[in-house]
Amino acid sequence: MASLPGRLLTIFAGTVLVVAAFSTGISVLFFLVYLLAILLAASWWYARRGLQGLKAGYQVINPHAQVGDVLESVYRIDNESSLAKPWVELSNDSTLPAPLPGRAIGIAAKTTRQWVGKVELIRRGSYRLGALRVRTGDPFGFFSSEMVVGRPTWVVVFPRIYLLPHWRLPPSPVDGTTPSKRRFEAATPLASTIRPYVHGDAINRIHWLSSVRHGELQVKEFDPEQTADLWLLLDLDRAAHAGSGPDASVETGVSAAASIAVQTLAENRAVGITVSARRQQVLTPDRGIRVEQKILNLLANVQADGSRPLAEVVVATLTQMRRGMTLCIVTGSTDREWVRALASLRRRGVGSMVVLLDRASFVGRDDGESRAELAAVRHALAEYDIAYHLVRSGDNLSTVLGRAPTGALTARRRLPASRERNRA
Amino acid sequence: MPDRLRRLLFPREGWLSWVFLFVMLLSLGWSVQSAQWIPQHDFVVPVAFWGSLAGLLLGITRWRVLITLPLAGLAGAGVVLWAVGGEYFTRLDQLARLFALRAEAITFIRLVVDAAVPTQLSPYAIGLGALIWVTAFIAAYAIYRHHRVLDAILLVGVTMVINISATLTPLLLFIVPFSLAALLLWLRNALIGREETWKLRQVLESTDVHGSMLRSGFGFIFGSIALALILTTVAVAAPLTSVWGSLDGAWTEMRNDFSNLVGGLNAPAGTRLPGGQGFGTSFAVRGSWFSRDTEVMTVASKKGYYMETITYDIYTGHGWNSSALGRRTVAAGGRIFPGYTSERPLSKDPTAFHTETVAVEIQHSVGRNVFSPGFPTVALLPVVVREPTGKAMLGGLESAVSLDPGRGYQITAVISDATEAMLAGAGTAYPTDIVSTYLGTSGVTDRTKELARSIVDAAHATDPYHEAVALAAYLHNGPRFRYATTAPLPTDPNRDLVDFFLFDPQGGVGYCEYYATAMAVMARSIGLPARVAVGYAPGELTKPGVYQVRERNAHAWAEVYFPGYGWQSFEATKSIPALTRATGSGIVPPIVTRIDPGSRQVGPADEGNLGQINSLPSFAPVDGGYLAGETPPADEARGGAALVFALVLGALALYALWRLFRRRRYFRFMAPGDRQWQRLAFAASRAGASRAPSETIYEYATWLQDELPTRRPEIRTIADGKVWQSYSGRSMSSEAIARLERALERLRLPLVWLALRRRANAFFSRRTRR
Repeated sequence: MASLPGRLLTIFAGTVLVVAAFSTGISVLFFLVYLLAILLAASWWYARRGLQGLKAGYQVINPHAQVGDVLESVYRIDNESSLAKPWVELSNDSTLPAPLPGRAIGIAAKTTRQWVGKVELIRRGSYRLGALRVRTGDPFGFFSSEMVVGRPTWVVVFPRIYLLPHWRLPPSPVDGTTPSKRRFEAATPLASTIRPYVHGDAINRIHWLSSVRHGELQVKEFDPEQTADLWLLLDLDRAAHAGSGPDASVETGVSAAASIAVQTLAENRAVGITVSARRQQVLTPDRGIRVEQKILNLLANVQADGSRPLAEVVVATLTQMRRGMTLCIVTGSTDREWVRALASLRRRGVGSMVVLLDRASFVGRDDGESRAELAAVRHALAEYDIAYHLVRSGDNLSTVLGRAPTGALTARRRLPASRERNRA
Repeated sequence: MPDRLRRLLFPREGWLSWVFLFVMLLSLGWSVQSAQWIPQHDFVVPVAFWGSLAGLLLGITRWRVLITLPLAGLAGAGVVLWAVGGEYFTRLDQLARLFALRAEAITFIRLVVDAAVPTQLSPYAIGLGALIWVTAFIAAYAIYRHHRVLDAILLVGVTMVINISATLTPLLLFIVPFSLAALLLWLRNALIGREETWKLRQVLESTDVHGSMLRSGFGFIFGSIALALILTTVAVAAPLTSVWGSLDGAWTEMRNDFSNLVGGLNAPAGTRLPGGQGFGTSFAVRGSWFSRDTEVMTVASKKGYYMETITYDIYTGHGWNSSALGRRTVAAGGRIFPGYTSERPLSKDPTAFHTETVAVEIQHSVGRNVFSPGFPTVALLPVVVREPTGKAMLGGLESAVSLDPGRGYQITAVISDATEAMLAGAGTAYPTDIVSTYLGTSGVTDRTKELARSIVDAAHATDPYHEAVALAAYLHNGPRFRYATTAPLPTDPNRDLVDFFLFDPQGGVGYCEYYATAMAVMARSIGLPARVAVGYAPGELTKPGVYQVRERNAHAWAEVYFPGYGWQSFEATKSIPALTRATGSGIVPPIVTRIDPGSRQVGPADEGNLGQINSLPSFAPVDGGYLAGETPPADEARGGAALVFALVLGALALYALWRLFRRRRYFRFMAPGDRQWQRLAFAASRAGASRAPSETIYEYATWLQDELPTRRPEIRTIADGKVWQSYSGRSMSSEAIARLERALERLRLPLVWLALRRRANAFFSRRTRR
């Protein structure tokens, strides 16, 4: 109906009209009284009856989607009454940053209307999509009636995932990948293929069943790099991030972590993750689609609200790292302490790489101090021969992460040699 | 397209809203024209058109008020002067029209300042035009500047209702196009508002919504107007106002006061309006008399009588006032003067008067004036008696209810049959009230008095009756006097009208008001108590006992008081035959010599004859009135009203009892935990805080606790009881049941307050819970 002064004015005018009509018996006043009374009574009745015979519902087609996808929901309304509804408004209360658009429709008697509501998902997170609110009323806006149908549902918006076809996980420095005169301390149990025995191969590597089948000795060839696990460490210390909204460094970091995780899982590797948000969360390495969902769910809801320095988190995580794993750190921190902590991994047979976010670029800062801080970190990473990808604001993650990481040249160069060594 | 240009070309309310507004203003303009406040009124519609257009344009420009209002004032002045000048001075050029208007306005103001009655109509037209301009401008401005459609509708509507109520011409049909346009405007505004809300809330609007809302809105509007018209034609005042009117006490007083206020509007004070729209409590002779052949009423009586409604006692020099300050309401069938009045015929001679009940059927609205022949004693309708200077004398008779065409009333009056002999012998023992009220000659010139004396002397009149007859004859038969409906007025506003009429070379021409005034003034100047009465002269006898009274029968005449016989009419107007009386034998002295002011019933004239002697075939009593011979309806109505109220109250009580019984039966067979929970949920839902289907018991209880923070433990207790009852599988101890009942008991009042609070919140802020 009208605003508060409008309502008061209407009530006042109506009261004066009624008193005047009943006091004087003037026909015109009675006409107006009757007109007002009929109009109000009919409007009230119409609004009351407006929801009778209506059935409505909705179903979200893709309750799990990623940023940039379009959320789709099918709405349906049946008018089973013999009264047409001039307007019915259907909408969901939701916590989505851009809510699903409601719809105002007119529906004839004994008819059904159905449509698909679409909205682009612009921010990751878990959002509540409320029950369907159906509202109708009289044409003059005097009265309205409302009903709530269905149940609330949740929509999880995963971070944007970039395809990384050229992404290569740096190998962990497992035994056999580098020339060494000492005995291998550990051998991988994961054989990738067999080859004919050559002199010098260890007896315990002969695959006897294949040898019988081929009529000559065959030895198992191991490929520890390809089956190595990945442990992601997403640094969500608030001091390590900058920017706000969809262009914040944390969004890029979360997207990078999600893209790497999805790509690695697609290569049938186990992926674990540590997220150092306000509450540190850890998912132990595993394979499969369920892990992917878990990781994406986790990444959908994290924020840069942690307070633990990355060095501390790295140290705490080291105890969980097994030989053959690769630790991938996604951070915007320019504190070099964590680089030092990372350096100890190599000796334990744990590979490492870093996705380094240029924090200053996310707030448009390009001063000498920030450049120096970043250069110091890069220098430290280079010093410890740790491969890293530098990501700046606006970079395409597919491109950046698809390139060979900085500082990974030696590792790549060593790879063929190690294979030769293994064959030897 | 630039934003400013787009806003100008496509205002938020659209151009269609202006069309609707203009239809409303057109209805107003037509109703004003039909009311015929002034003879020339064609300028009203153009002024309304330009006013609304100015309001629209200045509304959408978004200029500051300091700019728009002066601009509107200037434009309004220009348009009104242009329109009025064009209509009143058609033969002059534009500049000359302005000067002519200015000259008339100055004359008008001078006359008003000098307490004279101006005759210039163009100032009235300018005032009316300004009123229409302001109404049209503000209405359009409110819509397009402030988006306040309701204000515009109320402004135009109130103006229209006042106009329709203030005139007696039936203008009901003008309200129909007004209502239609107003509701369409409202509908359109509601649609625009709703679409804006949807846009704001990101609700997409289907293309068919606009059309379907308009279609259903049209249905509502046309249906409502048609039904309202039907109801208005069948049930305006009769059943409803009589129910209200039958209530005694403060309400009746209030109703009467209000009725009198509007009644005053119906019969505007100051003048008898051209076109015969009723008689007010004063009139000024204006020099012109408009009348039509419109049938006003039929009167069923034995003879054709002068039907009198108002009498005037104060001569102003250019007209008459009624000092009828006292107002007294008399119920239908009650005696108009229950106590002593010096005006009542007191003679015990049965041949001096007769009592007759005449029936009046209204054909054309004449306001609330009640017409009676002679001295009215009993009216079979509720009346308001106006008493001059608050004394028990008849200054006027009005109906306490509206007198719509098609209805009528019966009134019993004492009608004089006094012969010339009786009146000649009446003497001059005038009552004090009469002397103090009806002998005033303030402002009357000496030569008028001298003329009156000389006329009487020339006629050798020795008694009041023959003196009065001589004066009437002088005016009626005098060669100097000529009847004309358009007559000159004194150019000097201070000049006495009677002096001008009697002596000025330009005078001697006039209509009934001139003659009656001259007669009454001259009579007073020679010591005869006299007054001017207005009403209708006898109409045309259309069938036996039925007289058709037309508007052209409207008349003013002089009355002279005779002790014992009351007021006697004298016809001085040249165009109407003089009244004749039986000669009688000799001089008959007055029979009544002693007047007892303390007596309640004085004389046989008080014996009201309520026999149904003169009823018309199609007679239908006005609201609150009744036919002679019927039981007075006041008691019936009161009883009927009481019965209706009792029935309604009884029905409501039965319904409440039935609901209570049904609810108790519903709860009776529930388990204790369920019962208290259901009662709580029921009461909360009554408060507008019902439980959502998806809510658990504790979710709902928590929500309720937030709403009633002072009753958290009680709500928790009841919720626990419900959960325990539902899931424990055990029966509840009597102690627990008592605890639940106590908790619910403590929640009753807070829930009532919650209901009131939520309804108030919902009303004032349209907040809803979910």
